[in-house]
Amino acid sequence: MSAITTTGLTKRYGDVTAINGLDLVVEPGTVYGFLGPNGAGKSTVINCLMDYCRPTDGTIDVLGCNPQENALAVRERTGVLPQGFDVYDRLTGRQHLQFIIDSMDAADDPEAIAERVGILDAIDRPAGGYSRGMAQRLMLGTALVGHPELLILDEPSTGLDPEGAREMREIAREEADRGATVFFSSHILGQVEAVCDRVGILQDGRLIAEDTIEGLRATVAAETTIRITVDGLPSGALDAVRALSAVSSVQATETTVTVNCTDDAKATVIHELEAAGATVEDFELTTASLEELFLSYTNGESNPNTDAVQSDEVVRL
Amino acid sequence: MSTLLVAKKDFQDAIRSRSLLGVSFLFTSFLAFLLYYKITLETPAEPFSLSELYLPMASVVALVGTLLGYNAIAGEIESGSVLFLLGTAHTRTDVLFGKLLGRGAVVAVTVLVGFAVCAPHYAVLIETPPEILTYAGLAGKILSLGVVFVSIAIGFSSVFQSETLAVWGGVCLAVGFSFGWDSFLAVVKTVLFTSLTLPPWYYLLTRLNPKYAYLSIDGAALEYAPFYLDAWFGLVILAGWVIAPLGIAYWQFNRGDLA
Repeated sequence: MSAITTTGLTKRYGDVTAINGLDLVVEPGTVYGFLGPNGAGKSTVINCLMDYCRPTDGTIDVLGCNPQENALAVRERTGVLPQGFDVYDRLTGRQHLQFIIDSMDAADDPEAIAERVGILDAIDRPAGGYSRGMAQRLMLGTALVGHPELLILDEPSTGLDPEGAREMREIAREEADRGATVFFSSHILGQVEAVCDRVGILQDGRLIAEDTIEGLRATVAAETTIRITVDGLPSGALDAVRALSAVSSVQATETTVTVNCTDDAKATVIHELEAAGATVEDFELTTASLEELFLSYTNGESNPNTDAVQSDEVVRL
Repeated sequence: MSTLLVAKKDFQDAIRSRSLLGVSFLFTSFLAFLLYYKITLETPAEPFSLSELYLPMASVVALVGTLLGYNAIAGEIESGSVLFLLGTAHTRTDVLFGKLLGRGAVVAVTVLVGFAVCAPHYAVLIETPPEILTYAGLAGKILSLGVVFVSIAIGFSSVFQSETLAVWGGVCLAVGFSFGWDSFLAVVKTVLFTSLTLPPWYYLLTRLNPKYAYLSIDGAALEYAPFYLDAWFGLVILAGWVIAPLGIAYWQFNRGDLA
């Protein structure tokens, strides 16, 4: 039995399709990195898993239960750090943790959890005075209560400094070593690279790539990025390049074309551009890093500005 | 159990709110002033009776209940704290009923503190022996009205899943039940009826406002008094005002997206 399975999961908000027929399988005991740029639909998927949102279509199975029919069974066995949560300003960290411990009927010690997530010194202060990062740590702490079988972390490093983000990953890893399944979303590859057994890349509500980190690296190693400067792009030139089976992605501005393709297809790509009527003025070759591969997967040609992908801005769907 | 945990947490949170402190203070001050005014300043034709306090206090508790309830659901959804509640072993239904119990407990504390603080004040002011049981009964009636208004406001709160709309909904409710309903009835009375005898349904319309539900209708003024003007039917009306908004809230809150 898988920890999470979605089949044809679709969520529409009016005309906007946030998730588009997503088929996802997360095996138990793995750390699954759910990657994608802001707005790709990651949080919407997680909200559907926890029954915060109701899908428009498709089925969901979390730990053998349908969250729409039996949200309680899912929540009893899952710890979640959602996006866009809020704490109760007037209650202390300890009161928050105690509430979850009582709710989960668990025997955890609030102080032990607070220490683990690094807020022990602030445990008796009202959470209204916490920074975003501290609230994030508190929420992670509540997710750990009762040793859940499944841990769902939506952009857990939001508001954390690099050291905090590292601690967060360490906790995710420890939980996986204990036997829990960890479902970890992020828009930054570096966040998941070090801890995830498997990575899925979500773009426009669809899974566009899924592999182990090693598998993705192998793809990268076999790939070359060619940056070609042209005098102009005749219509159809990009489509002709994209149609080549050796080409995995194409980005373009008015006078440059950046193509990811297998190493032996370089000449074919240039030839195809010239055949379509473009004059190649110059080109340079680079071997893509995993980060660039991720960006090329998720950016497409519609958004060549990589800063947008790397910003820490929180987008709620 | 789950519902009680949510109620307990909600109570812990709400009781620490400064605005609640303000509301309690105003409620108590109003009751104290009203007692003083009715007993010593007014020179009534008849001696003071505690029942004179009922209507003004009912209007005030309508405001208090609405204030406590209007944001109970909408505020949680808007801020995202509902994700905290539902991230653990609770259902949406637990949250809804937990909120009702939590806010109901807060309104109970407000009313009980107010009446308790004013009790010695009343005992000193009144020249005849204080009617302790009637005083306690009045507190009970006002308290239960408070819970009814909390329920109504929570119903509205779950329909308007935005804080701003919920605020306006809450203001409209509070004003409507405290004053609007009376003005509407006054207009109906002036426009439609010239004779002194009003039809029974006019009285029904009056007591459909929960704050009038406890008032007994003087059947002598009527040729016949239908069942819905009997005292027990007031309780049916109150129960209806608890159940109907909660039903709407249940349906709405279980249906929608919360994030």
